[in-house]
Amino acid sequence: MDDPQTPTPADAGEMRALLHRRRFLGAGALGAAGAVATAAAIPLALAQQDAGLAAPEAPGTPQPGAGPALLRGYVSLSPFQAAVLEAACERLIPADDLGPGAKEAGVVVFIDRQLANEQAGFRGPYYRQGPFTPGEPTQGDQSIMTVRERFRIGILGLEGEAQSRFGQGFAAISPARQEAILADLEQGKPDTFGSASLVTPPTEGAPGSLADLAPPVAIPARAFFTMLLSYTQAGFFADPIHGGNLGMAGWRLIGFPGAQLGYAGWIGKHGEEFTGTYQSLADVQGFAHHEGE
Amino acid sequence: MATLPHVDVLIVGMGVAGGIIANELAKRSPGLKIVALERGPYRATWPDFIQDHFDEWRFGVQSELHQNLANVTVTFRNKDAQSARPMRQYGAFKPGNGVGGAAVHWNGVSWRYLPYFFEYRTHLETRYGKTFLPEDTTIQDWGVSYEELEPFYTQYEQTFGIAGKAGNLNGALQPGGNPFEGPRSTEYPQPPVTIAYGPTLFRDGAAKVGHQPFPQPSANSPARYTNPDGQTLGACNYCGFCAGYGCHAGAKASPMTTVIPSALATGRVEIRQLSNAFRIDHDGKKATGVSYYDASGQEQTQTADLVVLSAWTLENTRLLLLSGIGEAYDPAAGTGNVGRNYTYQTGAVVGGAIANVWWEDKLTNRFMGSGSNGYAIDEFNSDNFDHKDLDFFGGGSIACNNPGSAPILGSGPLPPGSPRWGAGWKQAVHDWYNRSAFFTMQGESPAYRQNYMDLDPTYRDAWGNPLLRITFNWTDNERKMVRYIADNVLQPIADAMAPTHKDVRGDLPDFDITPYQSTHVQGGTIMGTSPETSVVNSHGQVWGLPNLFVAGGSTFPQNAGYNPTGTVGALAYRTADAIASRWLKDGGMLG
Repeated sequence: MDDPQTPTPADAGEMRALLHRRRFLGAGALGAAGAVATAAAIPLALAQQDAGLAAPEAPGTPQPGAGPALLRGYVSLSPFQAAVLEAACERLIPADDLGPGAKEAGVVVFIDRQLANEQAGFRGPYYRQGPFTPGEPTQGDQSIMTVRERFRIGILGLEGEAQSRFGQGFAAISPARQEAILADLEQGKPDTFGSASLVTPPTEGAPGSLADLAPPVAIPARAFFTMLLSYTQAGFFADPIHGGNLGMAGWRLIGFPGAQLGYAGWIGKHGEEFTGTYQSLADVQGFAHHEGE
Repeated sequence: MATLPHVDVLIVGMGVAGGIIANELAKRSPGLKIVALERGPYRATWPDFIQDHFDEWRFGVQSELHQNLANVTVTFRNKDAQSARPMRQYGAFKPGNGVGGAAVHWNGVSWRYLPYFFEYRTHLETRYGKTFLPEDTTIQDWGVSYEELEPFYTQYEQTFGIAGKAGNLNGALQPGGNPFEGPRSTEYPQPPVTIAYGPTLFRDGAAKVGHQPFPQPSANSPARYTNPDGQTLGACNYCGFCAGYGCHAGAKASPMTTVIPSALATGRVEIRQLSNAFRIDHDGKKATGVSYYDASGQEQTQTADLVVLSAWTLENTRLLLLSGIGEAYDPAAGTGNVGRNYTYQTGAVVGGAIANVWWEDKLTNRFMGSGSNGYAIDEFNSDNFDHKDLDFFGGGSIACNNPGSAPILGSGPLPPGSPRWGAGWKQAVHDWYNRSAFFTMQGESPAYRQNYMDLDPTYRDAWGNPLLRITFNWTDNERKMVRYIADNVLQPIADAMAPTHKDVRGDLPDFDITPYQSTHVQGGTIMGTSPETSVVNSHGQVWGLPNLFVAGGSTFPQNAGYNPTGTVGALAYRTADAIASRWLKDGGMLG
């Protein structure tokens, strides 16, 4: 069958043509928004490979200011929720001499975007049919509760722990006190927490109004901590196109060069430091590269 | 419900096994009209993988290429006395979803099984006596020999462009290859891939303590390669986004870069994507076709003269059970075979024989690599070492691989005692991510009476059909095996590698479905020499339904200490050959 959708993928010349077409289409589609399709690294590398040479790490072409301004905002979290999460995530990955922490790296923006998809767990689509009956630890979590609900309740739990121990909300207490709470959660102390932990409303308001009115709901504290840590590290290390890892801060910390076409010229250079340009999938896709995004 | 125009051959599942059989039948029997059902989408190098796959969050973590658990999952318990629960999230294994199957996202480690492994019970009882094996093990011979399979291993390796170094050519040992492998009729079609730093440090350490390391065979094409069907693989770029991802360079051998474009090019194969088979229709003497939900969810029935079931281990087993084909296995009564001999792989994550090493003065560049990019030793696989004075049987291949470690899942592991978060964690990932290597035993998972699959009595898929229930746990045999290998093999190699820090483990707690471990899930429709002890014969033909063939890992009587795909491919070629050369002429059960 002659299927134009399935070229011989190995034909580098054809791949170049396809990529060129794709970039051309991409530029057309994005043109109205002012995006510039850059001459990305792929054709060069393929050409080198074609000639029997190692593919070098050709950088995307930075064109600061040429692309659309990206709006960053929360689609799932309220400002209160974002503030508590920012404080907690920053303790899990603090800013220090080694580089930015979770807050500066946009980890909460990443988490916020993930929470907008209520059908997915950390590892993707989630089997969501009952009965929902707890089982053995080797059988995994059996709750129907979405990740978004778990975050909503866990954030109230963090706030409640801070209030009951230190008389202030989580975002307001000192980093050392925040760390103490998180370290306890990691050990399963308290066993469960949530809105039931609140002493006063989470934001300033009529004393007692929310604490009195909110029906208590709680989740296991240790499981929340594990989930928070997983999402925080994911937001620190996922490609910046997902909203976190701003400036590729997480990648730069550990020496992960990001979305590279490949290392055919490097794989045999044992022990040598990679000196190519770090890049995001956005660079590979031909989007203009914005410093700091 | 619609009934569609009759076809000659109907294939359920278009992965390695289904793709090979479709291609062979289309090439060799031009008169056949062949239809294939595949539950997932058709995704190819272009337009799907060429630029968009370098995304760990989307593919590595969120499993975009894998079976959609929202539609269908499995339930699991460690033993009969427990009540099973659904695997709600990934997950110990990652079944594929889509044309090309799990081999779209595999890493490409491609072995042949050891010759005696095809007569494993006979071999062990002959060498050690009838009382050597644990009473509850149900390992058995396959009904096919390595010698019979060798031409089909060769055909698979030529078609998939496997890269490696032969250790045994027609009985003559070859320096640099695996001295334990069975005789090959010819060298690998491609030389080994360029191997990263970490594995070469393992190679040197293993050689120093007296082992014979060799390049792990790889389906990551090291150069442009045109296979006997005229399909061309690209050259691997060592991008490090391999296991879990489609290949942007068309360099990972998968059905989508080999047998499926070849099959489609004949014009005699039609693939219906997004089509979920739910029943093999039959009259008790022969299969008549398959009922399925099409891409829009409507029920359809497709009749055919020949049905090939190649839908991966879990769905092969579930479809036979849902269709009332064969007798469901009952462990208490010891009756039936469908669902019997579920086996797995002692892996490298939560339990198993695992070694991590770190050097403060060596950059290992773990982000580079290809799925199968390493060195292995085979001295401690299966029965390659004398078990006479040991209290277990079995073993595994031991390898150090550099598949590319992206940081969400691969920023660790970190040296023992490293903090899990905070400034100390940050310092540790900064210091050690790129200065480490790990090696592990991929251990055997023998078959046992109490480990099996059946239909879950409670949980159902998105269409209302019962889910498959897995009852599985490790036994003391594997626990002793893993401990022995960790202490006696991994530990000395780790020491010889002179690391700054090391962490060698040999624990095997109760099997836990939650963390990823291995997608090497076998058994359930096992092959053998008699309907008393098997579901299919060694050609995959269902006893009593001679026009229904089953292909894939579900036919393995037990799993080996190797990745299974090479053997899946070889068996599929043998099945296709039997159908094309004999069954189409004579029909009936093949001897």
